[in-house]
Amino acid sequence: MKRHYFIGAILLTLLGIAIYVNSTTTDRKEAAPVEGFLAPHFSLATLEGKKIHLPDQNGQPIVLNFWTSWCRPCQAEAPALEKLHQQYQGKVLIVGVNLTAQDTVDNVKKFQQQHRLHYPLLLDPNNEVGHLYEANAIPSTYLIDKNGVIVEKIKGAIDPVSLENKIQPLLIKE
Amino acid sequence: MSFSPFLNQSLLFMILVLLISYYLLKSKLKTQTDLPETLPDLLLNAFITGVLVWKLTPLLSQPELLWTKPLDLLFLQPSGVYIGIAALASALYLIIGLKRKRTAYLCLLDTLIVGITLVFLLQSLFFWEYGKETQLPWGISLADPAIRYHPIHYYQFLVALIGSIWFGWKGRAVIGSGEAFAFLSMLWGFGLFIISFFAQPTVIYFGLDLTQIGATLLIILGYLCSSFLRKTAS
Repeated sequence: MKRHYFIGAILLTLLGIAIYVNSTTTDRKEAAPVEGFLAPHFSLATLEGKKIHLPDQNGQPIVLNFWTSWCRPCQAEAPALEKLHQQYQGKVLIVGVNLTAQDTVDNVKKFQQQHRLHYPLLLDPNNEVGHLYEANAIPSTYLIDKNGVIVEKIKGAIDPVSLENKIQPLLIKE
Repeated sequence: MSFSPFLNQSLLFMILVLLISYYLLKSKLKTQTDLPETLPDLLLNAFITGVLVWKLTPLLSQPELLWTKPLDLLFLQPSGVYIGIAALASALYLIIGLKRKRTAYLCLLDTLIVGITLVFLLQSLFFWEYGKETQLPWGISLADPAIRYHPIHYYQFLVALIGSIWFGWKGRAVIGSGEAFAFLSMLWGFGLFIISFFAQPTVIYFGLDLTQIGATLLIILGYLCSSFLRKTAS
């Protein structure tokens, strides 16, 4: 019986400390392509030539997807990203960064038309942003919260329901 | 880390756990005769069932994939609730296969937790995890050497090391008694809970992050197993 109370008391103490510690979490200062760190800043041009700077500070969570047109899992994932773009337009920014050093602009255009993509597709001709984000696996997706912090790095293609379940907490999170 | 479109870090972790557990079960069968001979194969089949269910779960939300793009099922990596469904399928397969044979359950639980401990020992050396900022001398830095962070993977390594030393000291004879599951669950539960204070919490439910919720469950499971073993022994 004594053992029962002892373990219960330790567990309750740990739970109490955890609730207190979690309420006083400090923010990261460094930018790195690692979960829990600030997302590195970059500027790239879209397929239409418009320059975009990310992550911007307009308070929108970002889904940053690194892809190429020849990658089979990217083809499987693209319709899900478009569906989420349509569903969460104005609430979540979905951006595709094409690793153009391993692709061609023509193929990117074909890919966009084939999958009827409306979310911004950025071109990374020198693989600078791919390198900055250490996007070695294709596709790689980064979920960035409203404060510009990387919440999760997903390697490989994720299915739409799982991705939506990961996006929803980002809309609530302060 | 992703090794191919089909194999991610978690899956590789589970395959290694499965291999160690399979080997431990095979060696246990040589000395303990009251265990079902099919136990290692049952574990292997349960794992395959889980992986198949996991890979097919996207059909629940997009059944059209089956006749439009069946190959996409190979590439998509479902997570969250889909992993839960796959785990449930594996567990159901084992429950049906074991037919309430208590010693077999204890043997499986013991081998799985020992497998997890041994794989963690290896994994925590290769996959770095940065915790909260610290001024402690063993803190690790990322880009700026002036900013140091708690090395969460080394703390996990220490817990895995304690668990491995305990298993080495007790020997393989402990497998099948339930003692390994009771002890190692509590060790991992308390260990991960304490480590979580130095980690950067990500998703928070009811004031707790996912590691803390998982650690609490492990402590409860370990405690229940230990109480059950005490009762049956007395």
